[in-house]
Amino acid sequence: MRRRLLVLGAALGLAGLGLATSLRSLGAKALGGPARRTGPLPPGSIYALDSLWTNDHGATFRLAELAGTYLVVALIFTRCPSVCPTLVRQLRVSAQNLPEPVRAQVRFALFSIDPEHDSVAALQAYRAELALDQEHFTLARASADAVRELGATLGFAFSAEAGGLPTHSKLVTLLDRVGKPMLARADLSADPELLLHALQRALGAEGPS
Amino acid sequence: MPRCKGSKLDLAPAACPEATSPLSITRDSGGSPTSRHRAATLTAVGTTIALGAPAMKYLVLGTALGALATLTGAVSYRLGHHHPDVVSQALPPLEGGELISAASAPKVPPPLARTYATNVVLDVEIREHTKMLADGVSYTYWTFGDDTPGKFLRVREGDMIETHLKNHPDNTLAHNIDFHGATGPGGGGEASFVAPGHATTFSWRAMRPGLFLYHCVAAPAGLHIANGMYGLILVEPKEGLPAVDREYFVIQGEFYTSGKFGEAGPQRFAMAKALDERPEYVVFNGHVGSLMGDNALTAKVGERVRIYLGNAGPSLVSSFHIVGEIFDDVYGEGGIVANQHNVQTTVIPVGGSAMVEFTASVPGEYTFVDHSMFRAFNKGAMGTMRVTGHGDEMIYSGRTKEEAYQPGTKLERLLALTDTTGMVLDRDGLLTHGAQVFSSVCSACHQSNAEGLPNTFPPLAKSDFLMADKARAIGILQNGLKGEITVNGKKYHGEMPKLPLTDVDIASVLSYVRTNFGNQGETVAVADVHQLREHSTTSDGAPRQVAAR
Amino acid sequence: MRALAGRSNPGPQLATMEPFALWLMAGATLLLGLSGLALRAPISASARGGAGPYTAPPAAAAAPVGPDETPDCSMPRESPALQLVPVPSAPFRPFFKGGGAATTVSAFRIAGAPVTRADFLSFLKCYPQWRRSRATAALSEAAYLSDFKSDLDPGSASLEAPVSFVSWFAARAFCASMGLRLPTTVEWERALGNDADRVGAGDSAAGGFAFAMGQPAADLPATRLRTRGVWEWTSDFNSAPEAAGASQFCGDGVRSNAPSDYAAFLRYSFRSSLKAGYALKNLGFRCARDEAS
Repeated sequence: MRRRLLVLGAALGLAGLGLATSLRSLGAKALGGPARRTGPLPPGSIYALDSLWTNDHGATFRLAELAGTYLVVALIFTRCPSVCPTLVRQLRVSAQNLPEPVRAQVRFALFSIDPEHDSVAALQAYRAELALDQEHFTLARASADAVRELGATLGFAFSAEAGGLPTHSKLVTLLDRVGKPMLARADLSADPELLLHALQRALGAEGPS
Repeated sequence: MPRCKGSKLDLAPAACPEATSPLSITRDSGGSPTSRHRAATLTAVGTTIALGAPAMKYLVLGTALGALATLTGAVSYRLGHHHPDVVSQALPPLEGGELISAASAPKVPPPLARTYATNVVLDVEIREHTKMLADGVSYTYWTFGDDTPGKFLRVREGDMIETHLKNHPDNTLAHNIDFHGATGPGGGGEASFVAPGHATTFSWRAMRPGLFLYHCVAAPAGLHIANGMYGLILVEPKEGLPAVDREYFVIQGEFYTSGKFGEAGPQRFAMAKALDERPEYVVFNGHVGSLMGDNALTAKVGERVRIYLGNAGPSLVSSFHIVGEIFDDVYGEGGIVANQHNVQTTVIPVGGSAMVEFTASVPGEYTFVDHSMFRAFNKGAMGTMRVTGHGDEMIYSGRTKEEAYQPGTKLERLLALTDTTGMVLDRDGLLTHGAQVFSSVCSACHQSNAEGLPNTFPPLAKSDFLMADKARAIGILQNGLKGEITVNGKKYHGEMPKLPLTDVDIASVLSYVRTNFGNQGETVAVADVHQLREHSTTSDGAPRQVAAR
Repeated sequence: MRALAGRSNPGPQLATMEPFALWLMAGATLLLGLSGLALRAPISASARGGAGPYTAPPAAAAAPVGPDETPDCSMPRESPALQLVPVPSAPFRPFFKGGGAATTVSAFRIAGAPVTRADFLSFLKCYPQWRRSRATAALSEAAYLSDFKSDLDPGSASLEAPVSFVSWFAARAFCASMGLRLPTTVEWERALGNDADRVGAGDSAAGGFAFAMGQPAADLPATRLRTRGVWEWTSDFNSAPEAAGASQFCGDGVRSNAPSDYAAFLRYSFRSSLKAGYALKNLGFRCARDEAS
């Protein structure tokens, strides 16, 4: 009797452990990246900037709070007549077409280069207009200095001439989990395969978690 | 709702849902609102018509079947052609990796032995440094690697070239690279743009065989090319090129220096000359004389030689010719088909290439040039090939005889002298015009110092014969002179031709000579010459007509 | 999980189980429970801007922190790099804007010369967070102050030479510590973009590019304002998209027909290759401020 119970208990314990391990990894994949990391940021990481941003819900945050997933960054403005809407729609389609395990590891952040006009309300309206989902897309604004600093860190050029619409280069950047630019291309939004392959390679290199 | 159509800023209007036609299938499987609306409308219309008019049913059915057929065809077209992997799947698979095959000018690395496509790694460091452009002339070259031109690269059709472009931290400018053999934005220019102290990596597939230029295309591109950032890459066809005995490469390029050609010292780039497309130097392989003297190309009699040619410009098209040789085969514009034979001079377009093949058959020194002659002889577009071996008189004899030639005929030549109509014939006027006549006409024989040539042409300087008799001098200039004369104690037997000089010319030149070159005389008036002409005869007795002047 | 742990033992009843078995089952349950806790992986950033799993190290301050406790901390105000030259307002149009209308650059003041290594050394004495060993790697790349032998040892090069190997962040911090700022690109070009297609003597340190590095505008005193053979950071070096990316390579962005423009061509093209963290051998900076007193 005692032995039977012993064996049963051991079996239960082992089964539980095994299940916990596998479920944990499944759970980890479903809910987000690997465990907490600390340490120096790589050169050029936007998460080292200490600017304060406001999202389209009115909440403030620092860029470092976006770390942990892969991040596709684009600098846009809501008054942009065609280039930005096209780009954002392409990103939305890209996001939708990513396989679920990959999509869970990536987020999209759109920062405004036109903070005077792009208030929280304007960003909210933009989100609704372009049907960007809450979970994957962040829209944010900050001071002119903050967005200039962000662009300068990424090598993204834009002008903000008084009285006219801003002009900007066509550049979309993919950052890794700690903000290191992996890919910065004008056509990153236009070619969904590009984004998918880059993410698959990066996730593959991370190994099973 | 912002619209996508119409603005020239919009690069991808096809991605705008409003512009999506039902034929562009995306994997957004729900279908865009527009296409759903369209389907619904069509269904409604079709149903109404079908129910309302029995006879119309067949029309509607036929239309529907036709539309379905078109739709099916379009869908399969889009599915078949829109998939981005289709093109690269047609290329051979890549096996392994190796360092790229390369050689410095004018050598070419040997033909590739491998029979498969591979990943080749190319490491290039860009340097801005001083080098000699010509003897005593230095210039700040911007180079891929150590020198201009960059190394000749050799890859195989289907290879993937992994390019690592490094901008030395001591450099002052950002650079990039554009491979004409690459298909992609800027030929790699956008992907490789790099600041000093940094490096970029990108890969491109050599999808097409041929001989391609590579060069820096950072703005302003003409400047970067004109400072030496160019080279050639050969993408061998799968089956290789026909075998030859020797291979070389020659790239033509220009330099726009602030100083004139040959001006010694450090030279700077002159943008004004570049905009005018007026280089001071047009050279082969980056430096004056790079293919001459000890650096001449060599070949032996009987060898088949191939020269890979490039033209980096940035402005001038090249007309490449080897003096004394004919190209058996020309691969025009750097393609892999020998599309012309027995060619004397082939064009190398700016930013392009060509390949020429010939068999060296006669020994000797062969100059090759850009046949725009003043570039060849005055700007450096010249090189030499030395062919050694045994000659064959049945092909080319060389000089076999030299002898004198005196046919006894005369040639009429128009002398380009100033039109003297309306000229003021005072002393200054006569002397000025006289000087011009002297230098244009007389100095050819009597020399510019008027001292003549011993035993051939008598002197006019301190000439006793000339100064003794003014009328005689005039007569000689009007009619010529034959026979022996004695000038300053020496005898001369030559003949002075009758020159087509006007009286004004004669009066002027005589005035000039008689008051210069040690002669102590005075000027001669035009009236005197007129008078003599009316009354003179030729020295052999024939009467002269009065020339109306 | 909970179902597993709660499944009733088909064998003997709990009450009749031996203590050992009970302990074993309790242990197994505990293990399962703990594993379940570990499952609660950190939640990634959502649109609410919630906290991510990354603990960012403190970023280098944009605003100056007070002087170090080191006794020898002084910023020589008489340094030439801090002598500001007034620049009256004037119209200005970048060369690639072609025939468009010029904008007016409001009056401002700009330093007469780029910041020197001596100036920057004084700054480092006062602001230790910008020394080479302490500067945030993410904000200034590995080459930052690479001509310094150590944090405060400037090496053998002349202290009067313009400082280089400094990032945009470091340049901004320096100017802020003086109560100044970096000039904008337009301000810099207005004051120092007076190019002519002429061959100058050239500063050997610049490898013959001195002519492209700017000359004072005709209406400014050349005795008090000069360039010194380095490119210079501006506050918005990334503000000319026409001269960035693909547009500058045979694109529709940058064209010019005037020989005197090609110096500006080189400056704008060079700026477009920069990112804020770069620290380059031939790139320095000077400070400026608004004219409003």
